[in-house]
Amino acid sequence: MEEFRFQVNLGGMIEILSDHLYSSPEVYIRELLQNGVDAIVGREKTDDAFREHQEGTLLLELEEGRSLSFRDNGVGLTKEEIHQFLAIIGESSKKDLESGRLPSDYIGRFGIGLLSCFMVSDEICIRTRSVKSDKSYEWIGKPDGTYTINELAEPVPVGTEIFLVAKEDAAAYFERKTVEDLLLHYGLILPYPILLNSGGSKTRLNPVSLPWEKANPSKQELMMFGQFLFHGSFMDCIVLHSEEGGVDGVAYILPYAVQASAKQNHLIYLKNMLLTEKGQGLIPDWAVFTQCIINAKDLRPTASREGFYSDETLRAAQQNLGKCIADYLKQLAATDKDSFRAFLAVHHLVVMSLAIDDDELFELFIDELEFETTRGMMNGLALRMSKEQLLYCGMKEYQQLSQIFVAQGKLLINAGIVYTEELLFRMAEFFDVTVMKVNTDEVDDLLKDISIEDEAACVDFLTIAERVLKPYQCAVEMKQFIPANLPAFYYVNRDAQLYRNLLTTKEEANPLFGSLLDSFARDIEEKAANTLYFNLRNPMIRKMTALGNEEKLEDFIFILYVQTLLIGGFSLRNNELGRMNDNILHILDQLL
Amino acid sequence: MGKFNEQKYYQEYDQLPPGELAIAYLHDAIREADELEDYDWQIQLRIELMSQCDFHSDSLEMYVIMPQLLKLYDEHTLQFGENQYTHTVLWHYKWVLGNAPDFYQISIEQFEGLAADFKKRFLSAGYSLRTYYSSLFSFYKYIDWEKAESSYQQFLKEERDSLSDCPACERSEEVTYLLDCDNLERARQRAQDLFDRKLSCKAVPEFTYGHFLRYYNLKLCKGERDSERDAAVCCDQVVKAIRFRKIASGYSGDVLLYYSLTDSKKALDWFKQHWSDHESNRHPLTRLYFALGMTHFWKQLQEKESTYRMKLPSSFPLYREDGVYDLAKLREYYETEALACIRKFDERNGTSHFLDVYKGIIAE
Repeated sequence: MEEFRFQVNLGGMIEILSDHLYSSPEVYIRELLQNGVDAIVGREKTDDAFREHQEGTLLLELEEGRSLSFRDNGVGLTKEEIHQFLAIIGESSKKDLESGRLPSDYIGRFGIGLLSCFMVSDEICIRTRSVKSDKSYEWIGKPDGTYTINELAEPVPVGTEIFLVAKEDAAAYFERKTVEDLLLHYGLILPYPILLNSGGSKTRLNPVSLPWEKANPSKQELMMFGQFLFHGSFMDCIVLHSEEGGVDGVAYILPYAVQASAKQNHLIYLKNMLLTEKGQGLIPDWAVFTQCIINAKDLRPTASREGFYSDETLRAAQQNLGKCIADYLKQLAATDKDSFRAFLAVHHLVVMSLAIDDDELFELFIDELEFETTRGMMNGLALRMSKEQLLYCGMKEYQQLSQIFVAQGKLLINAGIVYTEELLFRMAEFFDVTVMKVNTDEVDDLLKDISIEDEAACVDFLTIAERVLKPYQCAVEMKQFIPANLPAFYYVNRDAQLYRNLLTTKEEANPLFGSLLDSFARDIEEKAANTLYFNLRNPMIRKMTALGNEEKLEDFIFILYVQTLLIGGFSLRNNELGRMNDNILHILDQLL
Repeated sequence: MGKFNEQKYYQEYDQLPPGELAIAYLHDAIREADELEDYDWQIQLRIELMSQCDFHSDSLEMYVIMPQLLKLYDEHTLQFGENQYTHTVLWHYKWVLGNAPDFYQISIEQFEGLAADFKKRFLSAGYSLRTYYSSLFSFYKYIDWEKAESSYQQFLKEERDSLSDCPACERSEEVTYLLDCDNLERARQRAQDLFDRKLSCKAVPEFTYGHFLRYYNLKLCKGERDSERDAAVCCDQVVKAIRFRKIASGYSGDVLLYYSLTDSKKALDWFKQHWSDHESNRHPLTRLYFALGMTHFWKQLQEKESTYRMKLPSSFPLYREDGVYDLAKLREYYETEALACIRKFDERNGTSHFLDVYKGIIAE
């Protein structure tokens, strides 16, 4: 069997890398920083004095919009190593990353990352001198995969200098402001000074130390750091730490409400180098109310180095970070009620969602959580101490029923608000309370039965009402209830609401959808319950029951029905609208 | 005619969490826009309601909104010839078609009528039939595999255009197809980009995890435990999607079944948190899988004991004040529902697919 080796088109590979591996040409700065830091780490391992005197430095010299030189005083490369680092492209670097075989204190790997420079420059020129050798070399690489190596007559200092000339369409990536922003963006927390020399001035860009690395960081300092990082203010901050993954950082609490499905932009660093601003997977999903800066020392990056591999260590780190945030909330709830209430006022939805899943958090938070009820906003403590049955219903039913519950001083909880129902169920589990969803029976209880005498007096009225409203699938009942100024009350359950919507839409739909809506309507017809309750306490209703004129009564009953529908926010069906018009005309005719 | 107060809408609606609250708000807003006859908002609010119903509710209401949307759209087009909402309306029409397999209420004839109307509208607006064929595949896969397979091949041949599903959704559809063909290895390979989130969207990879979980559960029920670890990851992702993003609730029953197969305590907790959602859910396929998961769970418990003590809210249909529940009755309650649902699906489809699924899960 013959064996062949296929050719790799490096130019094509670079295109693939820039299109798929890297999110933007901007990452070339990140790759330069990574190579520089790895070289310094390499030198620190063999040169004690260099390490002890903290001599590692990264220096950028910029000719605005045209060229850039990036120099590190790290370990440098020998001639053999120069050949080797190119040979590594696509062959072992990605494998090493994935298998975790790279030394743990190396951010990246000289080689594949360097290719990203071809996104902004047509040529990469490297001058280097190894700490192990007196000889200096110049390596010049082209995007087609060819390169040259020359020994330099004049030796350069130990370390590596990379020289890039901006491509015609990449000048923007060589502007001072852009380069400065990118250096800060990616290298903000690097432990080595990043110096930028441009237009004759040399400035250090990154801070000398990080606030959370101190033994007892002051809150003020942490908050100021957060403001600087995220260009905004926060309610508070939480120091984060996880042994697993070697993770440290700060979570800042947002001063505005966020939805549970929101995704925050966290700053996630790997070995002090910015890895991603998305950070999904490391910060727990529920902690949407935070914006975090995090540095991980021992998590494995993905090949694109824009996220972490989902493994046991990542999961453990995520759990620990979650615990830090949960512990902070527990502490706040136990020791600083005012701050905790201020937090809840903004982030109650997220806290509700946390309390559903975690027994400890539930017990801690439930008394402070607020619920919308017919007695105004009530917290969990007030609800569980009320010793009443905790009746709840969905949004639409709440809109219908609340007027009667309020008038009678009865308690009804609006469970149309997200997480409410789940929390009520948990209350039933934890405390001695009865939680019950409103159904027709409860509504019946609320609307008191009339006396036997009244019942006899209302028979004719109800017979007529039944006849009038039968075509609209509406049952009728006579009750007496508060408020007395409410003549009638229309109650539909959720299925009846849908049933009504199906029929209303069907009237206007094309035959294709009409037949479909019929099928759906048939399926729920039995479960749909809608009733018009007349209130005998209401003087007008009492008068109507005594009215002998059947024709007039039919008109009045129907107008009352339509009025309750409109108050309840229901759209009128065609047949209802038609009959309503006829009724009005009929009454007008009689009046004239 | 008047102008809908859009500023007020943006201010108020943006504050609402997705789901019931947002849906109730949209209903009121639609009524307002209808009264004002503000055409743009009549359309836009209905579109938003469709999204809420598809992602955060049980989808049934989409079938009420779509004819309203089409009526508004057709009348306007008839009047003015052009319609700026063609793309948007067709985009949502494909959701209606795509959901049809999950509703046994929709007969094959009704689906074919819808599909023909859908096809006609797509062609007359100059769009590719890629989505049309993908919907045919989904509908016919449990009815007539040959027809489904040929639709899938047609789907591949049609060009992608702006009405095609996003690349993440299409990859997820491909993965589902591969799982339907029982080609797990290839499905895993093709899903990798989704799981790495190199390809993702509002629904993917969460729904992809759901497809895998459903597939793995059936294997686990057969005693094939090779993929248990993968199933655990899928379950974890689906749980997160349901809990924190309020999406993928169609896989709630699959989570329950997985827990029932692996961890009774978690299954019980999931039941306590989700039985009420089940009671109010109107999506038949979701109800079926939840009822199947419950049947499996109570059956398992029944093998150890005949009653179980737990505290449930009094709205639970079989509520007992003493908290002592007869496991046979609990099982019967859910099994009856599952079997009724299975009968309706299989009757509509003219096959025994769901009965076979039932047998696979609730082994005799």
